[in-house]
Amino acid sequence: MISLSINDKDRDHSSLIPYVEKIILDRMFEQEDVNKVLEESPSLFMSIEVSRSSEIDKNSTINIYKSSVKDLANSQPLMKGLNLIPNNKTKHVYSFRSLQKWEGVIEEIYADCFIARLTDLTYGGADEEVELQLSEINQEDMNLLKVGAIFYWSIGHELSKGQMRKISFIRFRRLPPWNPKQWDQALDLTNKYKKIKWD
Amino acid sequence: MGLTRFKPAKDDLEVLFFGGSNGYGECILIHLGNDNWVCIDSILNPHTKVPVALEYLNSIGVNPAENLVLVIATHWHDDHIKGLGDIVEIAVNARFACSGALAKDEFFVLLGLGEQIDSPNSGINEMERIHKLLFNRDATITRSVVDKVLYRLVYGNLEVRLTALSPSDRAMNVFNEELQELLKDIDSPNTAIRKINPNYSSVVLSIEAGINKIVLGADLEINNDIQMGWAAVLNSQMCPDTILIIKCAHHGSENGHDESFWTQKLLHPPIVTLTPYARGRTKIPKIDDIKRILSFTSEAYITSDIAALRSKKSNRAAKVTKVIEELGYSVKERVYKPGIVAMRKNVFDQEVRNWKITLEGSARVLVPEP
Repeated sequence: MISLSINDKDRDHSSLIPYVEKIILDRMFEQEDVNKVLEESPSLFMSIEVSRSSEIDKNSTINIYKSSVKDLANSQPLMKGLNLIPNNKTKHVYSFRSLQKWEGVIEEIYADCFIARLTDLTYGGADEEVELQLSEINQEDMNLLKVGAIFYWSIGHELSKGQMRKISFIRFRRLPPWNPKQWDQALDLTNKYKKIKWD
Repeated sequence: MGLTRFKPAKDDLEVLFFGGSNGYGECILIHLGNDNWVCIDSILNPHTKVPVALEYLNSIGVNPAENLVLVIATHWHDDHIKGLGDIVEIAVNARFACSGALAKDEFFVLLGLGEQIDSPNSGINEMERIHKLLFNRDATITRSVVDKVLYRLVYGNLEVRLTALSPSDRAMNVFNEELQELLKDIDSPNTAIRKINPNYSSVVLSIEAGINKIVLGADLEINNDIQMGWAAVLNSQMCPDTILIIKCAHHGSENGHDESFWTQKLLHPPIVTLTPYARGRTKIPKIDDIKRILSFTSEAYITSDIAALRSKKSNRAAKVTKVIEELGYSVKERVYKPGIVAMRKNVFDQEVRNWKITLEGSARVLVPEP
């Protein structure tokens, strides 16, 4: 069973969704995990349980007690052009093994390409930069293409129907617009920092 | 040419210009005298994750907790303040100063939103961290505005003074309007907070110690409005004359160069230093910028190479590099190539040009591009 843990029951976790997705991308589709899910009933649903803690950071992990791959496939567009396991009748094994992941921020956009600054999430160290063609981006993500947009880029090996191939996919951060609670949190900080004295 | 690192004598005035190439940023350390040090901006060494200012002070046996008296953020762009929070955290006896333009509710809202976006390399996140530290310490922020003396040190019969020459009142008002527009654009946590350019909130500083006059240009740009940008600095009450040393504004670019300021306020020939900037296809100084600077003086220094990109990242497994290449991508490491231009002089020395200048790392004399 996959086991990760996160904390803080009372906070809005929508900002954690991209991290959850990253972890799921890393973990859910490793072959051993997929097989475990397949052995269980396909009617299980994903739940994310959180408990109170003082601080969340993006390296925190998440409790996933039960999961349905079918539900995952319907919830978010996780990967471009790939079929996830559709039902319990077919033992259709799929896995993706990530070799390299980056978090990118778009710095410049040109007619046919964009340049991004990359933070290496796998090896750390110095920043990198890449010039990517606009054709690398899903059509449904094109409206997210702007200077400052944050995206995640993964490269690795995909195993599907017994065939292994190298793939790359880009996914833009897709958090919902600010909700009132997030504005409140921002304003809480505003009010706090307004109290700092200036001379 | 190597820099022999040793602590300056108590009556040495020393200015160290740090650069990291590839937009890693700039940082300046100043020894004002009597073991009083000031840190302006910050570069974070991407390999050690330690600010270069702290690495340097530790290497010469200076305790930043005791001897840093002032830490200044000239503005909030990430290429100027990465790691500054670590310095503020350690320098418990130092005051913190930043642009008066940031003492606005709109900027605090930006800090709150930036905290939730949590993008790496964000100047806003660094500023938020600094504000958190200062709040917890119940510290006071020194507001840097035009003609304000930020630090004064008297020893012997000499006064050493560090003064802010910007931003002007008008610049602060314009900056605030732009901040309001920026806030309207931030509709979700999916985009890193963009920089406001041109940068009207940037803090230009002067150091005066007897006959020694130095100006540090930060990222301030020129403006047609005489109450903004370098025109406002030129007209400020406290702007010194006969400036010998100048750190070029905005990485030596033409929009950081005010011809009137250079011709009216500098000794000729001046001593010039600059830190380059390179991200994507933007690389400054350009060839014409270098020609312009060298038309004023041959004594010009650059802290590091403008850009240094490496196609194979040094700490990545070879098999992973191979897969990236096989997929047809060219991912280049922004190589961190640090350099220091160090200038030291006995503050009582009446020969104005008697500076000892040494270079370390990738710092070099500025020459025309081939």
